[in-house]
Amino acid sequence: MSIDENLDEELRIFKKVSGLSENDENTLREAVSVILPHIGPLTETFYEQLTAEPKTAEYIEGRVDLLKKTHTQWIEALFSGNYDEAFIESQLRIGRTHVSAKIPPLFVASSMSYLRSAFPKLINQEFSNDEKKAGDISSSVLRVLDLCQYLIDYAYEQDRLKRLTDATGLTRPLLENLIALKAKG
Amino acid sequence: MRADLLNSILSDLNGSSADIEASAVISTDGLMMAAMLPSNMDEDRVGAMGAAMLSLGDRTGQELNRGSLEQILIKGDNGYVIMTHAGKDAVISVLTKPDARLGLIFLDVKRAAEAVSKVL
Repeated sequence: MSIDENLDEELRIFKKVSGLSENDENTLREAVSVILPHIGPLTETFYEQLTAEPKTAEYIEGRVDLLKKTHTQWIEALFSGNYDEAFIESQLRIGRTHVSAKIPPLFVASSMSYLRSAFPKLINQEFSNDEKKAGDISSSVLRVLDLCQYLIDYAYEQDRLKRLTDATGLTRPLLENLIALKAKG
Repeated sequence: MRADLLNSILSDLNGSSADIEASAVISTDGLMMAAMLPSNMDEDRVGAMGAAMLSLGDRTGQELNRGSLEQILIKGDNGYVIMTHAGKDAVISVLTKPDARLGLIFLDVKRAAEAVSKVL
């Protein structure tokens, strides 16, 4: 069953261009046992970062423990090595949750940036005896993180387009036609 | 066949007044169905902008409690743009000269819109 025809096609292109493949699934599945013990501390540090910034802190205030638990599960899913339709749907759901919680996309982007920096450090440290393997694992994690961010961004984009169509009465195809107009000049 | 009929309606409309410079039939999604436009005008742009204006006009009429949309009229230094529904799924858009006698043109546009809606 298809999640969304356009999204299916975009995901095919994403995978082809980024190189995300079964190799990444296998690589991360093999690394999970080494990474797993570090997920808790990494999540702790991540939330310290979020609470240190007043603007992000106000979005998580009073539910940090619950969010940490969700975050830990999310990272475990990243290393599950199973990026099937259920995984895609779960990332879209995460995106929609961020949208409905009115979390600014900037926070998602900066959080992803933090993780893109933290994971390679952790992986290099744990696989210091095998530089190639460390490089492969980091590449795979970064590709999956990019996929997740793309899906979360997709949820934001869909929400903004829906709000625009609801407010103006413009249909989606008309909006796409307007967006596709070349700049005059 | 349908395109020929639409072109014929637009041709009659443009011929009905020397003040009409161009006209087009556009789908509500902004795609051009038939057009009699000057060569320097981009059909895609005319289509998308016309449909967007009509859609916004529809919504504005509803939100401001003005009832169903009859017409959109834009006045610029170089003339008018008149837009109206041509059936449920199309828009007719007409460009006129700045000193156009609008009363007569409104009638001709209305007739053309009815003819277009019958073809569609």
